[in-house]
Amino acid sequence: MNALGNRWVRGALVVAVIVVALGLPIVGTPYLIDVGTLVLVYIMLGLGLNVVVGYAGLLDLGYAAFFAIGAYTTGILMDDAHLAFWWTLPVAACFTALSGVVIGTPTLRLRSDYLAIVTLGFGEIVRIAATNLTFTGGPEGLYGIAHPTIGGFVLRSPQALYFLGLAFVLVVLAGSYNLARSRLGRAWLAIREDEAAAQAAGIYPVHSKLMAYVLGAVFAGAAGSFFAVKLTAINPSSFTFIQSVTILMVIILGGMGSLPGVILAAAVIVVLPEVLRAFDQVRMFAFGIGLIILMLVRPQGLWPSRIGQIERRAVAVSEASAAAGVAADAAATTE
Amino acid sequence: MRKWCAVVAVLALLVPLTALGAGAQGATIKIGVPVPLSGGNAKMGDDISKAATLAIEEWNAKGGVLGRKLEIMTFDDACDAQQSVTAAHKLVDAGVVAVAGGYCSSAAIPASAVYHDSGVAFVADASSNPKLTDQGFENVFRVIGRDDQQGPYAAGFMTKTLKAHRVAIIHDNTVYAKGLADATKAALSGKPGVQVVFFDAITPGEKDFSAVLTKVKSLKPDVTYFTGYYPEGGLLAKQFKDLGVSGKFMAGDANNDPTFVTEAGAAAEGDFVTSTPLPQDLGTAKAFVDRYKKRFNQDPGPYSALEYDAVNIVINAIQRAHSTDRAAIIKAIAATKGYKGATGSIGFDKKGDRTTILYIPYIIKGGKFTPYNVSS
Repeated sequence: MNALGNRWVRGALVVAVIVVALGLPIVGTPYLIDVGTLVLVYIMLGLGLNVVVGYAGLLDLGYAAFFAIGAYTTGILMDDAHLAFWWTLPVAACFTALSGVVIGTPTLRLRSDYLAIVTLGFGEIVRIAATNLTFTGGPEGLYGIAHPTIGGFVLRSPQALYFLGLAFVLVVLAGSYNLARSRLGRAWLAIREDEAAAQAAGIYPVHSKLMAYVLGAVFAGAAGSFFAVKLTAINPSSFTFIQSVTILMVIILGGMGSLPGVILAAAVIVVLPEVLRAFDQVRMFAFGIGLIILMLVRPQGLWPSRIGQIERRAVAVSEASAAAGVAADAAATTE
Repeated sequence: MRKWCAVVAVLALLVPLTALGAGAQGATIKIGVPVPLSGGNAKMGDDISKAATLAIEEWNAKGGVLGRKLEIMTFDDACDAQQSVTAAHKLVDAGVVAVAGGYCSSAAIPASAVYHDSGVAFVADASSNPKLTDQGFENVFRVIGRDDQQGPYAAGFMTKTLKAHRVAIIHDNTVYAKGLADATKAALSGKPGVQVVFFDAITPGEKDFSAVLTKVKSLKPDVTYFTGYYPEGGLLAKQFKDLGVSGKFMAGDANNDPTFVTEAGAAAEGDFVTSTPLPQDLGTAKAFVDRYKKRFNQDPGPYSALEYDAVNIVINAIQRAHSTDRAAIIKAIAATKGYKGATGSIGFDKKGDRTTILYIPYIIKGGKFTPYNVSS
């Protein structure tokens, strides 16, 4: 495909996404809108993890922990302290940022596999803590979390929650877009490609990496806060290792570091299992096969990042096929 | 080659869509059955959906209800909060008149909010967590007992059947065990002439409970009730006999596991365990168990009889309401009284909990859990 054709395809896709995103709450049934809202949650999570993995190149296998911290902060503050949803957001942001520092600091010396194991452990610690602590409601979790309100209007209907989610996504999307083009974004890119060279060029890796963790954590925290009021009930089973892998799958499937890729892949990850409901018991099996086919057809991701494409054309094939392996393994363990 | 792969993938995705289209029939009355069909609890989900299938097949053989055939819609909730909410929306969209099913409380509680918002009746078959009906939703019912109903039941059994006056209660500080212990203590305190002489926790994972049991022994209890889980329960039962503590040893439903007997060995003989009965141990479920075995060529699961009753209560309510209107069905279900189900008589209180408590005492005889006949 030549560059012009490619541009047309991309343009058409962008228009299609906007039409679907705005048209869904108007013409969709509550079920479709709910699926759409779930896509929005995964877009937020994908964009957040994209900062850590896609931009800064730090493999995080415990990302659901930040998601959980955001959800529990909002849930506990609304249930026990009867705080309004909007006031819980800055608190959740602070807590997740703090947890980003907590997990970021000891892992700064680690790379690749070692880093992955530590983050995996962190994810499990948070989930197990939530299961065993009293104030998190133990294995039963929290329930009866109020719907958010604007003035006197309660955001209860699927449409209202969808639009709330859309607003969150737009903020996170704008943040991600600007981050990638900021000084910090360039620093991440440099560290991802060659840490020693980046350091030699005057980039302070400790600061940059920590910022990646903190910002990624805050994005996930926002997604968690939204998730809590959307479901009105949360429990530790929503924040398992599989959840972390699913989010990782979103960014690998979309194409590392690519924002449109995250959006497309989030839609695929959520919608595909729904489309496959007719398969009943073999649904997740069919989902796994679907993912493997997608990775074989598009090893570089559904919508690869342009910056990455230019620099890494040579290594793209080998890396992406490794990624396909991860996604396939993950799909297999989902069952 | 790649293009072909893509074409095949797209076609493969279209197959279920057409299947969905073909499945839609206007005239049938649809009842939703959300169950886990993937993940670790898939077996339970399968047992539950089979029981629902049996229930509607029996009605359809008799000509359905209100002159219309019945149909169940089974959707996978994966025992997961987020998936159960999506499945709930899907069921509501598909036009189900009521929902009967669910397995995990963690999935049923978030889904119940969706059913509440859409005004659809939800009869839970296996979710025993008190929170489900404590939310105050008028559309939520359950045919299984609540976790906190076991305490009053155990208290009644100790005082009425075992004629206990001095009761020792041991828990292990987990949410479930502490809750059961508190509920039992509260129920006992209302009874004249009954005294809770001991109320304390052991530490899960410990092996030697002689210190606690020596203290219990000095208090001469008539019944010692352990509300924790079977790993400690079996050891407690053994050391209870070894130390020669007076009275009976009794344990909560988390001890209804063969491991309890293996650990305690011969010491378990004559011990009691309060538990939700298996269908095989219910006199009222005999006909159901036979029909289930004949239809599916396998034994019903622990929750099959409950699901069978849940679906029947919904259909029964449709018949009495003479309507498939969702609100009318909720009213009719709430008015259910003395329904003779496979699990016994069923009626609902204000919260939607079952009024007749579904627990039975098991006694350990010859190393096996045997239902204990209370009247004898």
